[in-house]
Amino acid sequence: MNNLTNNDFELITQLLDGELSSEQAAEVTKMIESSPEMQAEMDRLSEISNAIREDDEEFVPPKKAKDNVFLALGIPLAVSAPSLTSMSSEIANLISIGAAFTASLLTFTMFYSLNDVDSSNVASNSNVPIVSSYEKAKDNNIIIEDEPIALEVVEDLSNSTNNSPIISPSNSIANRTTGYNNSVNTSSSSANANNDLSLNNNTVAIERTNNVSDNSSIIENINENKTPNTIDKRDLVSAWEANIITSRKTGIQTNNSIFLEGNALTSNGLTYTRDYLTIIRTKATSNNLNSGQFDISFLTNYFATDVRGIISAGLSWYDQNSNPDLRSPVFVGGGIEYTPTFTSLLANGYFDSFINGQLFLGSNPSYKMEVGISTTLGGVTNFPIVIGYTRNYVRDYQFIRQELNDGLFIGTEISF
Amino acid sequence: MGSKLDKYSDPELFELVQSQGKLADSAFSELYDRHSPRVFAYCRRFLGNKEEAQDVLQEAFIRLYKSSNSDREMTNVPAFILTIARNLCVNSQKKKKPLVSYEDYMFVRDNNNDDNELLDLIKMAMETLPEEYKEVFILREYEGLSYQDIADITETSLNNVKVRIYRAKQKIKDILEPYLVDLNKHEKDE
Repeated sequence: MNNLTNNDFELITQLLDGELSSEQAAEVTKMIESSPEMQAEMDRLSEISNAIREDDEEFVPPKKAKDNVFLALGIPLAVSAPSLTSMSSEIANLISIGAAFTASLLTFTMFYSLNDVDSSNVASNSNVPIVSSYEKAKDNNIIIEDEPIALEVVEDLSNSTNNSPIISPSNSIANRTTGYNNSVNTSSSSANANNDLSLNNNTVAIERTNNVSDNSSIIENINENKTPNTIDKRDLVSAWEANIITSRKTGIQTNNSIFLEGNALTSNGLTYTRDYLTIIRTKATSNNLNSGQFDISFLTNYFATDVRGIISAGLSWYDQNSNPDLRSPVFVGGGIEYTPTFTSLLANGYFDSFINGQLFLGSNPSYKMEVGISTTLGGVTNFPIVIGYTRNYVRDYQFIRQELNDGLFIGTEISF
Repeated sequence: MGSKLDKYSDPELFELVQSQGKLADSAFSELYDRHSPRVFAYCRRFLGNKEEAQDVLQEAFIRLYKSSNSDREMTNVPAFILTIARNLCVNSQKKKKPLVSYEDYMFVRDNNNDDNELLDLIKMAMETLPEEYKEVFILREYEGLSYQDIADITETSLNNVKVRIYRAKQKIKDILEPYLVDLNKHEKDE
């Protein structure tokens, strides 16, 4: 019977395939010479290989296959004719320029229109993330004079356990009003109010008004333990033009989730939030729609020295070579994402801008750089839209020495 | 028309296609003429179906052309096309119903003369191989690729390729064993 081991078979196979080094080949040849069984095995395998080598069956691709390919690509069948492909690339360029222009216009429009927020618009928009805070009132130069002003309480403080002063001490009316804190009926708070604040933040919205008679009537209401007229807290945003700190959310968010959230802290006299947010961002690029990207970022400003800065680290899987349908065209990398909120430039809460750079593990010096913004268009959309520019460079991947893809991208993100 | 382009290497032709210049289409045509027979043969052997093989061939070259839009530097065009074709074949095989058309059946049977008897048996034995063994066997025996190239194309390790090729050959040899023994006897008798 056959006493050959699997290893013997493997060595014979590799010898016949020319996959052994010269030293190994010499060694195996000696073994075969001394073993009739190995010789017989080699003969059988050689017979099969020789038969295949003599297979002169021709596989001529049908003529129409080439025509079909050229037709599908828009190349004239007589290739000496002027190329249509150059025309298609011009169209592609036009589309790219158009996309870039549209994105710029959109950004410009959003920036200027949303910076001048009309309070009625904001009030009607239930998607705007708003939390007011005491520090914010100070930071935004709201001067409360010693004039009769109305105090309106929006938040449902009924569950609040913290009774610390919540109104600027420089406001005499406010000082007077604090005496009524416990008697104010706040049950008429807006349905959109952030109830989390009642648990964590001592938040009262203040609005200036010149209508003295209205003020007195409200004070009367307070004295009579009546519910004062209230306005939605979000109406006050335009008056503040504040750097909005979003409220804490739980669970996966597809709306109003583009901002960090959490407790307001003060550093060097400036207010900021310290928190974290996990974002899954998916994008399609303009130059190669097959080249989708998928990022997971963990954003936090915990270590940021810039009070408005947010740092994130994340992973990215992006399909660099899906066009030729390679089997596993996925790169995994890690990197840093810096998310400046451009306090002075975009002094509202409708944008979250990011700059992201990643190096790809196992494929250096491959990298990805991207800049973009995430916005819900001030709450118009029910999900954040991510727009930006990306540049991906991959080197030494299989048969490709290097590949560079860059272009605009658009996508969305969820956060939790 | 393509006589001048005959002298160009594959990477040079691919660069011409990328340049989108006057010679781009001719260069692509040259690449097609140069590699389509091999790719078609591979697809035909892999899929065993002429129509499917043609579909895959067309799609592979369309993708090759589209891949020239990116700023990539190609080092091994044949392996690149073969990789595309191979992936398309694998995808196609997954969707394929386990049916053999009359024409494909006859494709094997028509060649059934004495000279090709062993080849026909090899083809039939090949059909019994698991897909991962079959593809490495075709790439090695019919395409003559090195183990490393096969590993690159199939995106698996070199050791895996070694094992798969060895097992594929063993299996085919086991199936053909009675025939080979018989054949040897006849040769000795003669």
